[in-house]
Amino acid sequence: MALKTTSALLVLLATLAGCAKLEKLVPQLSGGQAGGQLAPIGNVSRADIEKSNEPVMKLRVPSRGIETFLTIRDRRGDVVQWFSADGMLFSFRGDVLIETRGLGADLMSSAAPQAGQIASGGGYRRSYFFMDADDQTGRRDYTCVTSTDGSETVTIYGRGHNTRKISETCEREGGRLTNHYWLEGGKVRKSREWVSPGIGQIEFERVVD
Amino acid sequence: MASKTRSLLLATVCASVITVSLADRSNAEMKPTLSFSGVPGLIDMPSGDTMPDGTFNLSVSKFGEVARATISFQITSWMAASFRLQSTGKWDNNTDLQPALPNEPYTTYNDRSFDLRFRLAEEGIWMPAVTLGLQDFLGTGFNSAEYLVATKTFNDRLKVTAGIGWGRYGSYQSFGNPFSGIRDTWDPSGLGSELNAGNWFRGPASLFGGFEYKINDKWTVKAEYSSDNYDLEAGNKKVFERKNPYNIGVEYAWGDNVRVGAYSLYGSEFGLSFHLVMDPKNRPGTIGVLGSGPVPVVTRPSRASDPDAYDGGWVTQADANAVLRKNLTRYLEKDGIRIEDFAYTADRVQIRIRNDKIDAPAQAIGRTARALSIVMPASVEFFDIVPVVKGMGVSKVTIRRSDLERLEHTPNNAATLRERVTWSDAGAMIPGGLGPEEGLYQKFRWRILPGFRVTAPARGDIGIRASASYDFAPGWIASGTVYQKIAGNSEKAKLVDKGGTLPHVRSDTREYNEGSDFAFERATLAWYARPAPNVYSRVTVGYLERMHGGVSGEVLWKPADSPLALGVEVNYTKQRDTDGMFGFGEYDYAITTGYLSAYYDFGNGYLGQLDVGRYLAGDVGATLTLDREFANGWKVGAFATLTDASAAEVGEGRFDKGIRITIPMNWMLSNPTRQEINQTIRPLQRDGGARVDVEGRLYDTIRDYHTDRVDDQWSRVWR
Repeated sequence: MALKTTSALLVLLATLAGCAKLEKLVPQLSGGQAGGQLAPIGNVSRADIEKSNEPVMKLRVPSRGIETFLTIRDRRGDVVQWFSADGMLFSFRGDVLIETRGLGADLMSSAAPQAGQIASGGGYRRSYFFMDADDQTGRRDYTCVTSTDGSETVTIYGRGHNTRKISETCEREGGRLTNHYWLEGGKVRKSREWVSPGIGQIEFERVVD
Repeated sequence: MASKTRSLLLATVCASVITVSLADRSNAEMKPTLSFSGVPGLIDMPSGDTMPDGTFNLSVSKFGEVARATISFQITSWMAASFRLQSTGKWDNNTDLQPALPNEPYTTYNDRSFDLRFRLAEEGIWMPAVTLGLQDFLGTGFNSAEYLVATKTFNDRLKVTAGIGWGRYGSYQSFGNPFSGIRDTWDPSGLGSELNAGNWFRGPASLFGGFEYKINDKWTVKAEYSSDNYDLEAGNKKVFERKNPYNIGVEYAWGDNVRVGAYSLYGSEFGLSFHLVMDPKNRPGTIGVLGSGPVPVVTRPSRASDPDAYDGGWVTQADANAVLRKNLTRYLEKDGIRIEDFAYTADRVQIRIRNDKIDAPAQAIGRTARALSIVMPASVEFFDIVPVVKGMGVSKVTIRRSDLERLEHTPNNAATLRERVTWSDAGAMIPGGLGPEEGLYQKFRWRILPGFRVTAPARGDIGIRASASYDFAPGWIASGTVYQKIAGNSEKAKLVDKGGTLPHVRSDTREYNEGSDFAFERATLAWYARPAPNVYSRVTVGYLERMHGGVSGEVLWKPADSPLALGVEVNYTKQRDTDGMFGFGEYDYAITTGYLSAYYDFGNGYLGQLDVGRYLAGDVGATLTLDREFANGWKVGAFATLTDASAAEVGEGRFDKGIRITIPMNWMLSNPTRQEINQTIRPLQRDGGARVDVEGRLYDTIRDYHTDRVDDQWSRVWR
């Protein structure tokens, strides 16, 4: 009996400890580290960004006029979630964007390749499930091929990166889109990826790894 | 030789331009524009165009003394309806004429009209868009016209329109009577509201037409030849002079939603128009909603790797409920989700939530499930989420935790999850809950908003409306509304006797408006309950609305996953005094009214409701309501009540009818909020078919969390 109570207590403690740990993983709930602690994007230097001491990505959404920093909120399995100070959320699997939250016409879910697959070329299928008019799910299925456009030096906040630029061209009946990836080694340094008809392409640059 | 080559080249270029223009046509888009009557058209004449499905527009126009305000709605892709108020000034301009009523000539003539438009053909490569229109098809016939009109677009720049009209649109340069028959003339003393089908396409017909040229995305010019002779206005009433049939104008598009225009009409008048076009399917400026993303689903360790984590012994821990609940609150409160109750067994949790903020029920359910995945110990596999409205658990959504974990980042996860979620009656709570969160009950809420009261079109008053409510306990709500007038012109309304012999249960609007600058509009105590599975009840006592007070009871049967609901309502009411205070002496009128109601969701956003029973004036009959509801909560509907009260008893208007519109604030703000604007518009408020206006009827209260409504926006469960 005593043993049972103790084990129950232990489980509870473990649960609560789990919660405590989770609060670190979802810092916006406790107002901890978030992208928002960085200075306004217009007048920030690499030194300022590096002060945050954590990986930082820069996001640009041309269709909505958004330019902001993202930091990692959560790593879970092979999915990494990045978020902005105002709570926008971007999920990547194998360095490739799979979901967005908070842009409006969000990419709600997708079937996407991982960076390794894009780097090694070949063909595959992609599916996008996005928020469409009247809160309905829109779906687009594509057949994609990749091609290497050559090497390119990408400069991000004063630091040059030698990259290999890869274009991913996806086609479906009556439509086509191209995503771009700048790979440094096996890692995506910069990318321009399609979200939905309402948002179009958005751009990510990895400033601090 | 050189010149020959050049001309050949020119011919080739021209040919390719023409080819391009024809090829472009099929997918080119030149948006339909609206006429002075608020329907797709030129200036004063209609066109063959159709607005996009579901579009709603509000149009105001004026030329000389003729002013119109129109609300139009594209009900389906092929059918549209409009409701219009037309006000014609200087009605007493011609002093040679006898006034319509001795001692009280109209200075302004107001007319209401309903139109229906049917698309007969869609525009194709060779085919023009063709529309059949019935204007003022129920009214007194003042504005009656029928027309068949075709519009063809060329090169995404030019639209050419030609049509044939009858009635008002067959009054200038008419060419006889193609379908023969006699058209009744306008009868100003008629009761209206009767299908004047006998007149349709009868009498002389005329041709009309014109064009519209788009200079660029902002500017458009229009010119037309009008077949409306304005016989009455320009003829014997001499309101304006119709010198010729030609109208020209220029329009400016201000973004996608607003259009303004300036025109010269009939060689004598200057005109202005304003159009606000709203597409309920698209929030202005954004698709979907903005607002922060969700917390992640937390995956449990596998049972094999950590069997101890799955031990259910924690349920006996004395303070576990309070601790878990506190943790849940941290995740839920920022989304405006409050806990009404929370209890569990080792493998199942039931959380009862009140959603005060998120517009899409699916999103509220999704966020709650994510929070549970973070907080609940691993042994809990079933999440029962019970949305609570007015103290009633209105459904139970059961989600398997392992589905959440497995599906979070998979393609098409909304549809996959939906297949695996079950809906049922809320049922009983798992024992052991600690009850509602602190601050949910014995809770006082209030708000103050600008308000208005209407006596007649453009006559009434504006003021402040303050509402307050007090939640005593789950299901028990006291609430009230007061109104204070600030300014008004109700006294200027010229109301003529519209006939009718029924008791004035509804038509003394003027007395109620002018009798009280300050009024207690409502003061009630309501009790909501769920007496049996799938059955909901309401009892409301007090000053139910500004004109009637008493007691109202209602019972509704609606399974959580059924498109059908059945209800019974019984009211015993007395008519209130016009001074806005608490007396019932002025009218000495009491009556028992009641209805049997059936509600059905036909799918694709079309809803129907049929009520049969006894109305306030003692008349017996039925009300049919049809609504089109969009996923984001926009709702546009029309209703009509036919009772055994004769046309003579009801007077002008014959029967009660109107339209109702709900605009959700989330549509305007692009952020989650549950506020909405409701407005019912009746062409004429009479006493036949009138119903007590009780607040908080059951169907609309509970339906948000039933499958027929939640599924409309299910995509947002992962939002």
